[in-house]
Amino acid sequence: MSPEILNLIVSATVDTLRMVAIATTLGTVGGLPLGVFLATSRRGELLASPRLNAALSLLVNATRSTPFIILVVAIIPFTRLVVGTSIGTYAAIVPLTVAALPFIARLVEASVREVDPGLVEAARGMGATPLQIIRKVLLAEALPSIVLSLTLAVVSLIGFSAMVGTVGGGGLGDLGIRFGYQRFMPDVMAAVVVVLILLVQAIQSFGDRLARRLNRRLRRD
Amino acid sequence: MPDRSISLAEGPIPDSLTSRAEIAIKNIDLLEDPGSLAETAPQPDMAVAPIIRFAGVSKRFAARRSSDAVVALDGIDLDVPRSSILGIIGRSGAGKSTLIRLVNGLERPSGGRVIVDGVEIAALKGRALRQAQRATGMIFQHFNLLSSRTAYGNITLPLEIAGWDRARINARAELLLDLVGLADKRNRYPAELSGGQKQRVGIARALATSPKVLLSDEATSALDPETTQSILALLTRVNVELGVTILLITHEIHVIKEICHRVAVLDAGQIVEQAEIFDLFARPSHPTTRSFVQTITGVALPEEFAGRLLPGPKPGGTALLRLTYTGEAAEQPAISRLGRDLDIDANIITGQIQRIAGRPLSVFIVAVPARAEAAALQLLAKLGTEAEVMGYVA
Repeated sequence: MSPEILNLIVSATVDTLRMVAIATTLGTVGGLPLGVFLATSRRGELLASPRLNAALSLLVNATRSTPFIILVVAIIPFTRLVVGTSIGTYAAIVPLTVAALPFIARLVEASVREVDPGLVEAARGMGATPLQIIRKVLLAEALPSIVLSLTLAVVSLIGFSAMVGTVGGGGLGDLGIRFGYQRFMPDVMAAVVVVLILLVQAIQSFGDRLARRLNRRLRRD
Repeated sequence: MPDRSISLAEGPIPDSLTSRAEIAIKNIDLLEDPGSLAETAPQPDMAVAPIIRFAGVSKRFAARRSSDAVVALDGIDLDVPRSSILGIIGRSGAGKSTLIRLVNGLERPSGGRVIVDGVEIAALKGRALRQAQRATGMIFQHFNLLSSRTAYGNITLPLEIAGWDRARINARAELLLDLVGLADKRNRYPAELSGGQKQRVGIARALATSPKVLLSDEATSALDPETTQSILALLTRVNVELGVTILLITHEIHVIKEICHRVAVLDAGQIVEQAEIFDLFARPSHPTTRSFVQTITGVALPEEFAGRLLPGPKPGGTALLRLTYTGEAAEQPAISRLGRDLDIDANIITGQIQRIAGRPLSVFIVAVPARAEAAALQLLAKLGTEAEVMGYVA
């Protein structure tokens, strides 16, 4: 493999990581509060506002049920509005974030719903505000599960980021399509796949290990 | 008071721990509020206004798609005397959990008033409600400790919520750890603690903000008998030494017998009986009470009699009397007097003697000839022994 190709792979990897990192960060910044709200706003819950909950839930479902590749194309005007172009690594971050946010919200919602309602009751009995309950009880208790959820989100986004290559998004997917597929360079294709596998493997085991360290429910002697 | 010979420490915890906790209590007393655990007078004073009053309280749960409307509580009138231990016993579904949750505002009554230390909880909202909630602590059957926090961290939670500063939180938490005998488990997570230790953390957490009232929701129901005893002993100490009023709900009559001063029996959302602890065991009136009490005073008819019980006497038959001796009457040789004064054979079929709230309570089932029934009842009444005809056998 020529040094040029190797350079391409390295810079494509950096592009992918940058896209995924920024999209995950933005998706978490929006998805975490949204997920917490979804988990606490049904009737009779901490932040009970059933109508807003239903509306947001519908919106999340709509985004989640749109195939990613269609989402990418459908929001091109929005992407242009935000970053001024619909082509390139930064442009790809927009659809990635739009896909990541509701996905992360649903995962966080599920994690928060797993927290024993008895703990919320105990905190309510102590005179805790809803915000205190969310911070000190729900998020603290759900943290290991949320870490696993985010790991899952990152891995999924790496997959999505490969797809934005088809619309000029840059990154490993783009490299694989343009060089590996269109220029018949199977070694590049293989290298792209190997790098992706290593990436996912590393992220997953990092997430697993972090979650295990945070999880105090297991007895350690 | 019932038997106090139970040890304060759970299992093989050395005596030094207990005494260390006692020293801790003395230290606590020396500290200024809010470091002081003992805010109320330690002597039970039944004459002053009750610390909790339920007045005509009802609670309905509205119908949902999946279930019909439920009347959980109906016309509850109940006073909890300051610095007492009051037990509410009932079967599951009787409304116990709803009742206790009205006290700290986790539930709101549909009708009537719940007044805690002079304040109607349901009338409060927001900040004022949260403030009032800090005057009660609660412990739970399944402990409800945060798995993400150590014993220490769980105890500091209510103090963080109340907005204390770090230094005061730390001092307070260390005292509480000492009080419940868990100073050496400070940095353990709940997953590393036994059930009894978890409940001790729960108790320390509940006492953190120096509440006047401790609510106990089946706090020993998930514990083995030995651990139950040690937790009940700790609760008694909290009541006696800190003057904290304890309102506990349980379905276990022995918990009532062990630590309560008064008891209310809840059945299908209504209080069907309330009494001082001894009276409940000596003279249970409602069928639900009887069936609870029976597991302790345990004098059911042996099967060979229960199977052939007749509603009325037969010539030459036998009457079965249940005799209950309370207090001084327990000293009287009533059964031998039956034989001597009436010249009949009085045969003890089964019986039990025990101490409840420090007083002897004896229950015997005695067989006497049916023809002497009236005379026997008369004599027993004269001797101050309660007697009840259970039935007849041929």
